[in-house]
Amino acid sequence: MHSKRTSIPAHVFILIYLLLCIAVLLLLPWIGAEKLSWEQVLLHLQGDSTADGLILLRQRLPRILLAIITGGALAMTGAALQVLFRNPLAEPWTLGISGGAAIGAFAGQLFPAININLGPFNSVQGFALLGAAGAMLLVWSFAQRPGTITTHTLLLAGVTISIVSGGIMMLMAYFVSPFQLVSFHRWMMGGFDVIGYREVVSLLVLGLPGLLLLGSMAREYNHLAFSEEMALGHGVDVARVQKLTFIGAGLATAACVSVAGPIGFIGMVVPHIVRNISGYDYRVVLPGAFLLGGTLLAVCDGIARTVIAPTEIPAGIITAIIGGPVFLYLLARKD
Amino acid sequence: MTRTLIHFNRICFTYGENGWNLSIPELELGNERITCIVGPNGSGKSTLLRLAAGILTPLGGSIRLGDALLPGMSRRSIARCIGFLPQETPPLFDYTVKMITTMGRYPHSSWVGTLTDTDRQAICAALNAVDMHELQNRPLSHLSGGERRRAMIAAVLAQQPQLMLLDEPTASLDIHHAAAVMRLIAGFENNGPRVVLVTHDINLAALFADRLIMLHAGRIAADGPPAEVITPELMEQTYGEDLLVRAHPESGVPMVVARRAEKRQEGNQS
Repeated sequence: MHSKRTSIPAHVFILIYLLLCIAVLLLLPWIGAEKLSWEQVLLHLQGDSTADGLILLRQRLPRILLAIITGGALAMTGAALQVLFRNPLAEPWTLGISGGAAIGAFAGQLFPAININLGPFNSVQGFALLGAAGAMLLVWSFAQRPGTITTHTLLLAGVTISIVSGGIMMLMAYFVSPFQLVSFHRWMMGGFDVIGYREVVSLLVLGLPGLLLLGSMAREYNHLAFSEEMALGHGVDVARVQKLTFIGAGLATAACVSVAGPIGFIGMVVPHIVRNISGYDYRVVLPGAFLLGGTLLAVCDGIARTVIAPTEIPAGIITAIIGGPVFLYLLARKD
Repeated sequence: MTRTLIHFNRICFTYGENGWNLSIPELELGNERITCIVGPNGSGKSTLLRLAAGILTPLGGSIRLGDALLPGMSRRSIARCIGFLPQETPPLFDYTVKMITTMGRYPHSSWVGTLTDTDRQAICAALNAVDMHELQNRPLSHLSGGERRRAMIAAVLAQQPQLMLLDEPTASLDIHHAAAVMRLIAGFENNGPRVVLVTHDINLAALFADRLIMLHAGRIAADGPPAEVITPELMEQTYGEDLLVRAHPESGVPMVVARRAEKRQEGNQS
C-alpha cells in the first residue's frame, strides 16, 4: 500500500484534486430548483440579459464559489489544527473555535449600534475573530495543562465549548425581535442561502491571509507531526509556528463562520480523506484539503439546494448528517 | 578542523517547586568521540541533554556553543551545529524512512524546501550509514524497534551536525539491537559527528564510551574514562549497595551486575 503512494508524485495528486474542484465549479451551477437552458446562458454571456444567465452567474456561481472557499478554508484549518494539537479529530468545530466565533459574530449582528463597515470588512467579522481567539485560548490553555489531558478530554472540552456557545446564542436569540430570529436561526445551522459576490469578497478579507499563513508552514507541520522535540532539534521554531497557526486558524475560522455560520465536520473528515489518498506530506495535505474540502462542501450545498427543491436545507445540516457518523467511526477506531 | 564545543558555566535548572534541581558548575561537551551520560532515574540526564540542545533554558548561568551564547541563537543556527534526538514519542502520522531522513535537512534548506544535490547526497549518505537504504520507502510502523531507532539516527546524520545529542537511543531495545545501535555510533568516521548520549545501560556505556559522566540527584558524581568512573564505591553511592562491579570478559572495562540478595541479608547469613 505504501509503495503505491510513493510511486505517484505529489503534484499529480494536487492536479487531480484541482480538476475535481474545477469540475464541481463548472457543473454544479447547472443543477438546482430552476432548470437552466445552456442556450439562454450563452445568450446572456453574449450580452443579452436573460433570466437563466442571471440565475447562473449572479446566484448559483457566487454561492458555489463561496461554498468552495469556505469548505476549503475549514478543511485546511482542520488539517493544521490536527497537527498543532497532535489530535487527528481536531477541527474548528470539535475544538469549539467555530462556537466562539459564532458567539462573536452573533453579538456583532445583534447590536447594530456597533456595526461598522469598511468596504468588504465589517464589525461582524471582527467580533467573530475575537470569539474565535477567546475559544482557542481556552482550549489551548486546557491542552497545555501537564499530564492529565488525553485526546478525548481535549475533544470533550472543545465540544463543550461548542455546546455552551450554542446555549449563549440561544439566550441572546431570546431577546431578539421575532423578525430577526428567522435569519439568525438559518445562519446558526450553517449555509449559503443569502449570497452574492459581496460575501465572497468579504470572506477573503480575513480568510485569505489566514490560509496563506497556514499554507506557508506546510513543511514545519511535517516536523511537528513527527515529534515536537525532534522539530526543535531540526531547527524549527516551534513556538513561532504554534503562534502563527493560532492566528491563521482564527482568521480563517472567523471568516467562514461570519459568512456561513458554524459548519461542522468538514474540517475533520476532509484531511483524513486526503491523507488516506495522497499520504502524510503536509505540502500535499494542505492544498489537497483546501481543494477537496471545497469540492465536498459545494456538493453538500448542492444536495442541500436540490434534495427537497424548491425548499433549501442549510448545508451545515448535510455536513453534520454525513460527518457525524464518520467522526464516531474515527473516534471508535482510535482505541 | 576545529570542534564546536558546548560549554556549561554555573548552570542551574529546576522544573518546579518540589525541590529537585540540577546544578552543573562547569562542563564541556564534545571533545571526545563518544560521551555517555548515565545515572539513576531522576538524576537529570535528559534535562542536561535538553539544556545542551538549547531546548530548555537554564535559570542561572550560561551555556555557550562555540563562541556564541546558546539562548541568543535561532533554532536554525543551533540545528546546523547540534543534532538532537529526543526520546522516542509516537508520531502523529506514519511517515516513511526517506521522509524522516529528509526532515533532517531542514536547517540547511531555503524557505521553499526544494532539495539540492548536496541535500540528496547527505540523505543518501545518512541512509547508507545506518544501513537503511533498502528500507527507505517503508513507513515507520512497518519497522522493528531497532530499525526505527536507526531511521531516527539517519535523520540526525542527514542534518550533518558537528555534535549529536542522543536521548536514550537504545531504550527498550533487545540487547543485540541495543549493541548494534552503539556499534553504529562507534563506527562514525573520524571526521563525523561527536556524540553525547544518555542511557540507562551502564554496561553498554562503559563498553563504548570514551568518557562517562555519572549524574546523581542533579549533580555530577563522576566524570572521566569508564574505568575510573565505574568503581564499587561510586556505584554504591549512586545506585545503592546491591551491585557488583566486574571486568568485561572481552575488553576488561568494568561492568555492573546486580546481587541476588540484598547485601545486608547476605552479611547476616554468613
